[in-house]
Amino acid sequence: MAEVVVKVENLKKYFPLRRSVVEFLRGSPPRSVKAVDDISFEIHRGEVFALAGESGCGKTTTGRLIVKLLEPTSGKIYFNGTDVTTLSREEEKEYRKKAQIIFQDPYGSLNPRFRVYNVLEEPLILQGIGETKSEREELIIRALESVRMVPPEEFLGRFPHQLSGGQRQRVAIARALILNPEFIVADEPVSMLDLSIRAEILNLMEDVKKRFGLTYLYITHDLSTARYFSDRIAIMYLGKIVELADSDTLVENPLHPYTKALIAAVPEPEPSMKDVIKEIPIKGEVPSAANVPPGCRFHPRCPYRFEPCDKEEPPFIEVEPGHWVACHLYSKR
Amino acid sequence: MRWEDFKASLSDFWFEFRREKSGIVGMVILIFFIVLAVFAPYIAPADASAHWRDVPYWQNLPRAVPPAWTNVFSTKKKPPHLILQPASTDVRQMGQITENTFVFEYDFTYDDYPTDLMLLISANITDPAKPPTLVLTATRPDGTTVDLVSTKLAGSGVGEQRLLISSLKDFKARLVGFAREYENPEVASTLEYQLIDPMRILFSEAKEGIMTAKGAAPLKGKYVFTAKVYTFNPADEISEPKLVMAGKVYGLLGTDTLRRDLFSGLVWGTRVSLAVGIVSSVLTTLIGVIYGVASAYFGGWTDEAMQRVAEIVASIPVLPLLIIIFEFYKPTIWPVIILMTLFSWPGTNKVVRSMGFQLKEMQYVEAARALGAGGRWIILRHMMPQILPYVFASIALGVPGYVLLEAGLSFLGLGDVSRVTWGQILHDAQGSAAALNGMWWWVVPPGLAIAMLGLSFALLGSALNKILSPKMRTL
Amino acid sequence: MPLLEVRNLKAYYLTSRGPVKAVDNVSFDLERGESLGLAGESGCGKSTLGFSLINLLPPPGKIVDGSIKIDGIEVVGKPDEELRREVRWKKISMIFQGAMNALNPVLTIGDQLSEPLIYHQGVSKVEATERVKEHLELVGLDPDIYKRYPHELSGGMKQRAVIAMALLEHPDVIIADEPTTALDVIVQAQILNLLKSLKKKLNLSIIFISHDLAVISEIADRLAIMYAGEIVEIGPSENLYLNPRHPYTQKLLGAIPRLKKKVERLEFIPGAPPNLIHPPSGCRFHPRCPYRFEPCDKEEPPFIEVEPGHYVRCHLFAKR
Repeated sequence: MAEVVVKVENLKKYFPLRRSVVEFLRGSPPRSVKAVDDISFEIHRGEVFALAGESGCGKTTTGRLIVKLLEPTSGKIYFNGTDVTTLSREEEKEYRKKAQIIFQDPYGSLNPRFRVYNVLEEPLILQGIGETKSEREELIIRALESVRMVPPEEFLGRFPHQLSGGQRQRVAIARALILNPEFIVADEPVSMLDLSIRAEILNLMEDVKKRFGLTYLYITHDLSTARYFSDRIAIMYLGKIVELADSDTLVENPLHPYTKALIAAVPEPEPSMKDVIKEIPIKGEVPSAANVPPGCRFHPRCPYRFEPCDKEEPPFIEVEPGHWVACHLYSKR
Repeated sequence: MRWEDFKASLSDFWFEFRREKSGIVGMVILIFFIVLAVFAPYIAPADASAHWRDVPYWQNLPRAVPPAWTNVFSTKKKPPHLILQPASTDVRQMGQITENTFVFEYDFTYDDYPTDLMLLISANITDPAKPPTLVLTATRPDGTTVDLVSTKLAGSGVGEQRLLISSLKDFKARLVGFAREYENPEVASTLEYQLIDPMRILFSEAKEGIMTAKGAAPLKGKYVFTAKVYTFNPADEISEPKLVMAGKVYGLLGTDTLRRDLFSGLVWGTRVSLAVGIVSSVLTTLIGVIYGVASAYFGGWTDEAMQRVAEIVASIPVLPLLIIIFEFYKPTIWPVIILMTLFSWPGTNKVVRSMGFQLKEMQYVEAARALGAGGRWIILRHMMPQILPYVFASIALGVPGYVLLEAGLSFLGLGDVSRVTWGQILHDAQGSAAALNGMWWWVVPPGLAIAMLGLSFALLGSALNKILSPKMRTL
Repeated sequence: MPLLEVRNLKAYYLTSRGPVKAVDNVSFDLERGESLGLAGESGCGKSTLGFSLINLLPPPGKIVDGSIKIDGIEVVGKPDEELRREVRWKKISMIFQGAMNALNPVLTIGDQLSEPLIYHQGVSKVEATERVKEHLELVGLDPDIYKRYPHELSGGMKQRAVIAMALLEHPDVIIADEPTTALDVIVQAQILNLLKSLKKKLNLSIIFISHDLAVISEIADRLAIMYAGEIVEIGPSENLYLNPRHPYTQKLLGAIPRLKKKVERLEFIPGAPPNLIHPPSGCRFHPRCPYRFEPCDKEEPPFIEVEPGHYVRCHLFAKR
């Protein structure tokens, strides 16, 4: 078994909802949005682990928890065996060098008033890397080269609005790489890019992964890129992981009814489906995470639901080696 | 925040600003006022502001007369205010007695009479018991000579003396005597002495009607005034005599009832008004920005508490409170500014806080946090540069409010009395019922100045808003 | 006669830095009951084309040349008043991108849908209510939604309501600008199903604008690929997806990750789309094209029919 880089254990993140005055006076208990509700998984060194799901399923929150942009409500996150939920200030700074994040929006993730040089200098200054200006410039140029922004000198003085979407995302990747991390959370890194450059960015991320021995957590709503880019995929639904398997198994042999529906719904660029009304086995839309259904949280939409589904939460079980699912259909009883 | 950020936002801003016509108009008006304020000591007498409350300082000026340029619009030319220097000087020694002769020439070409005649003279008297004697005679263009006055100067000390000749009994008596020779005796005998204007007699044609101005027109031509000053001690010195023809129009903006030059007041008032407006606005905005950014950055309970405090401050009625405070405690300009800013920052705070909340959620801020950035770094490097353009606009939009507030306080008599401000000029005008008495030159210019300064900043501010609001959406 | 006939359409944004040639010399036809997919990357002019067809180009956009005939009526140059009375919403309507998030939050769905009927059409309130409820049912919503506010609906329901709104005045052509982009994949599939069934049921012509070739393949009878303001390839979907001719189309299709097929390495197109104020000379794609040869940067390629109904704008296919 490969070495574990990130281990998440019973991770929970609840965002408290504001109570209205009436609720407060009535003494109703404070409610919360259960964005992430008791999830556990491991990411192995050198792999791309995908967290996929629809909007609001908690995948982005999970990513932010891991890089400590958010504090978990409860649960543990281990990085190379160390619990990172209880770090001192110094340790946290050290951790940030090793775990970085790339954001979805290449327009929003770069400060419009920062030149490329300043964007890439920021991590160096914050982490105290590079004694002199020329030393830092050397690092910056190398980072730009590693994301194929050549010649780097040409880009140093540019502002984000003088770059194309793909170039911006490459600068964002360079910013994450410049600290020499081991692990990167890539939060929908290509979903806002044009199709013709999406592959370019994904291929680039693949290449730097090999070169620098990185491990990725790839967060996406797009199963197609998840299959292309990642080794294992975890499907999230309403704050829970419902299925986890290696990419090919998950797509070709999905077990959970929700995964099945997701895969059925993904369009393929082939005209054969034209005019065919697709069979989508599940009804309705995702309920609000503030109002999670009891039992299996998918049961109101599930075509296969049976007696225990609305009462008991299904256990997360390993149906075959490396293929986990949380569904009563597969639990032994 | 680096200087480069500041420069970049400033130059972005100027690029956009150039295209806003209203903004340019506002800018031009503002520059005009700034020039007035900066060059006040050169445009107006340098000590005018310091002496604004010093009544004797202004005594050489005519009382409550309109601006000189009103002559342009009137067929009846009024005499302007003139200070005559002696055309020739002569000193004769006659034993112990010294005779100083000063000759003044006055070209009188107006359709109305000067209001007053004054003599300014520096006298150094050694023996107060022997004050110098002044004898003033006038030779009129028609060749007649009138003895105007024979009087003693004040008998002690050194320094400039000021003789308001036209108010001396002797002066009037002599001129009335002179006039009787020409006036219809019937008219002369029925005339009430009180109503006779000696200045009119002095400058009228020597014929019937000289005492009443009916029939006798002003006598135009060259008047020669000869002042002889006799001193009775050889050590006494007389120097720098000046003859003041107090006009019926004065300067650019006329005078008030205390003979103060309103132009000087207005020019010096620009300084205070601008300073109060800009300083208060800058201070308020700064407090608001720092408070708002901090509140947004910390969020949660800190934000909650800070905002409640801000709301309490915002709900205090400022003007009544200031009125009460200054009623008990006569303020100078700084307490006025500080108190005004102390109660006005919550508005800016609210706007900046909401911008801060938006900025805090920006991905580049999150990215910086993921890189290990702390609060100071994020606020200074990432948030402030984005808020800066708003700060400019907010400062500009804030200024008219403070100019008006200060004017309002001064108008109510609650301002800093050691300096002249537009509001105080208006306050004094109100006290003398200037508007009721038709002294428009006392009321209109300061009012207009306040309005124009307000307008300039309002135009600037609205141009700024137009430039900045689309950008704010992209924040 | 085709239902919609577009000839040499040019729509420019007249900016201070020069005209942005967002739609440049575009021609195509659309038959009744047919769906045309309009694909291309952001900034290629596909949305501008959509807005031009319904004559609602936001300023400084302007149709500078060409003709648009809808059901035989020439639309270009027609006064706005007449357009509103005869054409817009009645012959052709549009589902705007992001419209579901632009619903007025303080009005009920019913009020928002019936308002144009009452004010523009002079339909009585009772009749309008009736018609709106009918259409809500048509798009698979409970007619009771009439009394609901936007925030009470899910994304999919809002998008259905927006579609109902576009159908209210029984148009022949409906332009759908990225109607599924903001939606999750399951809801997206539901909306696509809805559009398919509406097309069949109402014999509707659809212009489906999207950047996502996979989504378009679900609905388009014909496909047009736009690049830098021009249609570079147009033809029956089968031909384009299975046998693309233009290098851009080929590369674009090669860049799509497949869920059900394992792809080892995706292709991509180096470079970025050109600036539309000064587009490249000759073929606009030539700076990024791997097959470019001598005439590409000089002559504009002709629009060539490579097989019946399948046109390509590329020198590779020009007979010389």
